[in-house]
Amino acid sequence: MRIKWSLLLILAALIFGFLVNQKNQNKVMENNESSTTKTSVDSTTAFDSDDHLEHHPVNKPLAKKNKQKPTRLQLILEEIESRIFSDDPYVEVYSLQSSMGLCKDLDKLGDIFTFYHNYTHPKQQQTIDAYQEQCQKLQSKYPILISQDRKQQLTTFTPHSKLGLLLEKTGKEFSHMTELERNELGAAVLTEAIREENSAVLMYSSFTYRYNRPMMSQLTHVLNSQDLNYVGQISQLTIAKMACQFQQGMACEPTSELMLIICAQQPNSCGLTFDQWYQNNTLPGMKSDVETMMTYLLSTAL
Amino acid sequence: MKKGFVFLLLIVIILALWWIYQSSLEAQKKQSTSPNVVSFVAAESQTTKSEIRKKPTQPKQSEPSSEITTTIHFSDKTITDSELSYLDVYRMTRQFESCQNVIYRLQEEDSFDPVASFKKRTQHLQALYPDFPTPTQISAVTQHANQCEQLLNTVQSLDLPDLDTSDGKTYAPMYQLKRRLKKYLLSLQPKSPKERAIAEVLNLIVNWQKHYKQVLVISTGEEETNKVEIEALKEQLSLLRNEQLEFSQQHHDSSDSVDLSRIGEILIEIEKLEKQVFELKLVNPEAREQAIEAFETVNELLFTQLKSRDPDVFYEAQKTLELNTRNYRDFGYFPYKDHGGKKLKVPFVEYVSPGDVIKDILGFDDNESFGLVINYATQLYHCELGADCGPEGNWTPFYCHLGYDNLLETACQHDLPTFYRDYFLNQNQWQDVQMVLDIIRGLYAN
Repeated sequence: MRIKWSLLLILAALIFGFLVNQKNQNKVMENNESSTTKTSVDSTTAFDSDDHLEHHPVNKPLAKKNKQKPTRLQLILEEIESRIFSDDPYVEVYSLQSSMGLCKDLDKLGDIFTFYHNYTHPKQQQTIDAYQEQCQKLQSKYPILISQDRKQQLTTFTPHSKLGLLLEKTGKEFSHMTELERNELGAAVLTEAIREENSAVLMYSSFTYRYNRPMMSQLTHVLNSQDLNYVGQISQLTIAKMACQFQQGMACEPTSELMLIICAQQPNSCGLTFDQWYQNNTLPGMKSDVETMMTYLLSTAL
Repeated sequence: MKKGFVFLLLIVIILALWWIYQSSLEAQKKQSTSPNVVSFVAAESQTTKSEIRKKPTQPKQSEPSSEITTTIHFSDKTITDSELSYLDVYRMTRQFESCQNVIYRLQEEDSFDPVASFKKRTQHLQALYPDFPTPTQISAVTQHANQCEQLLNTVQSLDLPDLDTSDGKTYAPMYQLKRRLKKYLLSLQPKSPKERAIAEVLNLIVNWQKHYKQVLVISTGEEETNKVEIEALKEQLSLLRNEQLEFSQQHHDSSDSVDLSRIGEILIEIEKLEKQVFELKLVNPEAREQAIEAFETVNELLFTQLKSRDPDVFYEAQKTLELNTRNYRDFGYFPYKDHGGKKLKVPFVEYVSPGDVIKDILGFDDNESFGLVINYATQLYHCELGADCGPEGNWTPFYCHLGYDNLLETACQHDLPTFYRDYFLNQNQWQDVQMVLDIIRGLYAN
């Protein structure tokens, strides 16, 4: 468990570090247009690295706008032209970063598997190989997003969706907030992630909920249990299960970061989807409580 | 007239029987509340297997702690060594486990205030629950501290043996005292069957730990084959560590004058050399296999002790086999087993603990989900064996005031099964726990 806790905390720390360190947000430009589909970019407002505020009109290829060498912003926008998570570029970049964070430093991937032991199980090695292969594909699809400094990534964009604004607030103000404010913000992020059906942010939220005692204590009434550890675990399982329903279950594939972390500690679970793992590792009462929690969390997002 | 006499005689006999029955009840009650007395369960531990199977799944209702307590409460009178039985001293070692934080503070601090310390430790809960801590919890803290202080005084008054300090290791006074008390217990002669059963498992544990350690030593790898290279690397490591120490000292004296990048370089170099030393160590597979075989023999004997109907024997065997070093936590499954971890060339992954066996039966792979049921189920099984599970017993104080989270007043007022079933777990959890408890009964009680 300590291994799992430690690894989860490291992952959470990476995400937090990534957000908390994104300081020096410069100029903001409001985007009054909001799109309804996630697969096309109707309008994008962004802050260019050259200190130019640009408004890119609908459906105009960015690289063609001027014949100069494309800026970092333009390159990123091209990479995320086909959206997976959100029409808000801020949320899209955030979500992609969250779901492929371990691809950034593949040399360190083995460290997760040898955190306590100096050996890697053959099943674990198979998963590492599959993950590396997946990273190579992502590398060719998102060369800028993967290669560039994660701290600087989000400063390029200004969020225009509610979820984006909440994520930005988390990154900017989290370290100055009281515990109560942090928890309120965490709950708001979760609710909005459910509404937006964003699996990457949901996974991030699931870690927040797992180890946050004050947040747990507010959910004890849902399960009618005073066991905070249990409420935390059920909450995390519920949110992860919910995340599996979105983006074609990419957050729960055997090579997702969640399953990679699980595989690092549980070699017999390597190669499973989250749902398969969930079926093996929960008892009937737990499954029933996950359904109860699912109903409750969905009702809060209505 | 004759009929009347017979009737009168019958009434007298009934009254006499009633009086005898009442007297025996009183005697039983007195026995269970008197200090330094063996668990009330001794009689229950004689229960036959068929009777155990008939035991209802639902636990009995809450009983007042005074009736079932096995906690030793010393009176003010001086207890001499000769007055203490093996069981008395064994109880002291168990009480020491729950008291060790208080004893540590009593020995290290001039004026230890248990209530202030408790409030400081649970500030996070006060922020969450306005009524926390309740007077009941404060009272339990005070009572616990008093009992621990009494225990400390008693243990200090005993003629305890000295520790072997030839290995150069030093321990804080509390740990010294704990180890000396354990050594003292092992030197005593058990007399009653229960004492002999406890002594048997404790001696077996010493043997088990010796064999377990032997597997780890062999799994660490030997340095003899590549002695020259390893010694050269160790010399370089020694120089680097000295340099690191000097830098740290300089940084401590004046942080401006130190080149921090050099410290970083040193640390990277140390890590590299340590890895080289590690690679050069070799494990003899045959010797390792032999060590594991020798361990297995003792391991099987200790596993058999899990079937004991004595709660103390079960407790000692379970805790040891689960490699649980934490007191009053993770009884059932200890998830932090690393079997030597990174220090070993080949970790002892072959080892299967009692918790692992149950995890396999359930088909679980995840320690966290498994941890949500196994510890409760094992504690409840311990209660069924007759362990003290009252409000001041083995487990509830952890939820009343000894723990860090999940501290509830109801834990100070009820026995463990009642607390879990009615105040702590929900119905789904309780059912899951019962499912695991059935597996445990099937493994150990049949």
